[in-house]
Amino acid sequence: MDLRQSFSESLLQFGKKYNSIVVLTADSLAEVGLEEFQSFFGERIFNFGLGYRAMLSAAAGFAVYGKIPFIVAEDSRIFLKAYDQLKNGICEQNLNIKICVLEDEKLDDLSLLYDMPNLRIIVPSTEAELADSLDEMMLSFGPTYLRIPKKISNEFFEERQSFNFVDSKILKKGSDATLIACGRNVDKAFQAAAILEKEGLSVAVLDLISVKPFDEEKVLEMIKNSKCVFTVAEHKGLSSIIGSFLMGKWPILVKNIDGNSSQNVAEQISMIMKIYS
Amino acid sequence: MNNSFLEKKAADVRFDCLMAIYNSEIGNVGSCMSVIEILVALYYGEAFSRPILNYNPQVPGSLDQDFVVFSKEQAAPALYTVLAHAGFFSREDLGYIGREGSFLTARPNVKIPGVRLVGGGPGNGLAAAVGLALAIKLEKKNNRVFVVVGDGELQTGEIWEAAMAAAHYKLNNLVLLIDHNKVQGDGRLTGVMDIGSIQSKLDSFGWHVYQAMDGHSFDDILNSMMKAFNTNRKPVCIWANTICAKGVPFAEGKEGYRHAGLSKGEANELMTQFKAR
Repeated sequence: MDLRQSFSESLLQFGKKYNSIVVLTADSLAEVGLEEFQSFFGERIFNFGLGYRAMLSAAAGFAVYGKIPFIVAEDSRIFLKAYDQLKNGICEQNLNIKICVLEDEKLDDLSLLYDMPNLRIIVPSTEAELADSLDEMMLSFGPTYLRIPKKISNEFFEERQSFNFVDSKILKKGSDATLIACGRNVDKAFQAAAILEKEGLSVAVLDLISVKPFDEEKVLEMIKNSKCVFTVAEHKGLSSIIGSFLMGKWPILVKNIDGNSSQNVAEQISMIMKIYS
Repeated sequence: MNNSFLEKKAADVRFDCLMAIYNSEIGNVGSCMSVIEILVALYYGEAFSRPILNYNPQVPGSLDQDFVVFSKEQAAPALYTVLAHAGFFSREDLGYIGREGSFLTARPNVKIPGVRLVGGGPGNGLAAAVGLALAIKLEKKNNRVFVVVGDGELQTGEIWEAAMAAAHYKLNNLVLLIDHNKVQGDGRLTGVMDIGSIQSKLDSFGWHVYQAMDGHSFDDILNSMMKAFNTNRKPVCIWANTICAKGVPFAEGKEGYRHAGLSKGEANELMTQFKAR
């Protein structure tokens, strides 16, 4: 199932509901699926071509005039191009700007953005979470980054019930290891946990929806009950966030697992667990 | 036209600014002195017997005013002095620019009364102003946005991204003021990186471009301002030929004083000179 559809529908509803929303985009309307928004609110959508930097700075201008700019882009290249504008122009001034970027292959956005002052980072992984995150984003003040998940590969996500927006979601409890994941990797982590369960390991799984700020008490409590912490991601961003949080708080192994399937992830984890348990 | 009031004001502002630079022990005499007449013309000048800039220091946050985006951030003391003269804050604060605990930071920030929007870096101001002008157009208001940039900033790419966007969206409420003092950090602009003809560059981008032959003559500045107010359907650029460190006899036009502050001897010399006038 494609979540772009659900994102563009939510944005259309916001457009109807709130007059102050404007959408800024750098040549990615079709990619994100905002044609419908354009046909309804053409005057509130501004395309800056490929001028990423001008777009990010312009968003600051919109926010100062009381508008709520939604910056919509197709990949995290936008942050590499306009890092200065985002940090000095938007985040340090604490302007009410929402950035929604489609999930890409690299997933380096977390490590790029974690040190931005005032910026809130939300990584939903299901349709219900996406809708709740957008509501949360709309109703809270300040710069916010949302990673739009592209596809839900597994039925597991669709079966999950809708729930209210919370900082982090414990999907499963366990005492041997803790798996932390966000976005599309939650599925992989959950399945890997099921495989490890059959091997006799009790593994907890945590879905970090709000990466910054995350629910520190809940995460620390979970980690204190287990022997190792694994983050499941293609990029080391998440493990460095968890690692730097645990630094000086709790002595434990934190390792990033980059596997192409849940089976692979489970194998890597069980190998490491044999050494550490 | 009788501009004696403006000339007297400019002399006052120039002296206060030099004293602010000396007392705060900061630099950039050259950049500050070249932009004084442009700022005084903005805040005190009249065109068609109406003030150029519509502002009210009693309600600095109101949206029913004109906006000034000061992108030439290294010349912040000049902006602060003009704002203090205009009544946004006390003149006594000018002696503590950039000091610890002072609200007047070395670079402008949005918490300072009278500063509405900052770009956050060289060249970011124009793009931010484009966003602001778009938001004003969306609300169908008549307020103008004035952007002051230095000529060195024209070397950044973002200026041209923003110039393209401004022309594309036909922002006739945007006025770009270029302080062309021909000196940048490392020396002459033509030696470091020649920006070529400002006139034909912005003209080909689709702007109305007017030159103020002498950027220190109020006749020239106000004339170009009137031309700017008489145009429509295009953004306007006024580029003023200024002299680095104008009004400081021993530093005028010298590259070395662009960054430099004032020594005690120099400050004393200036004090006697300005008092004699």
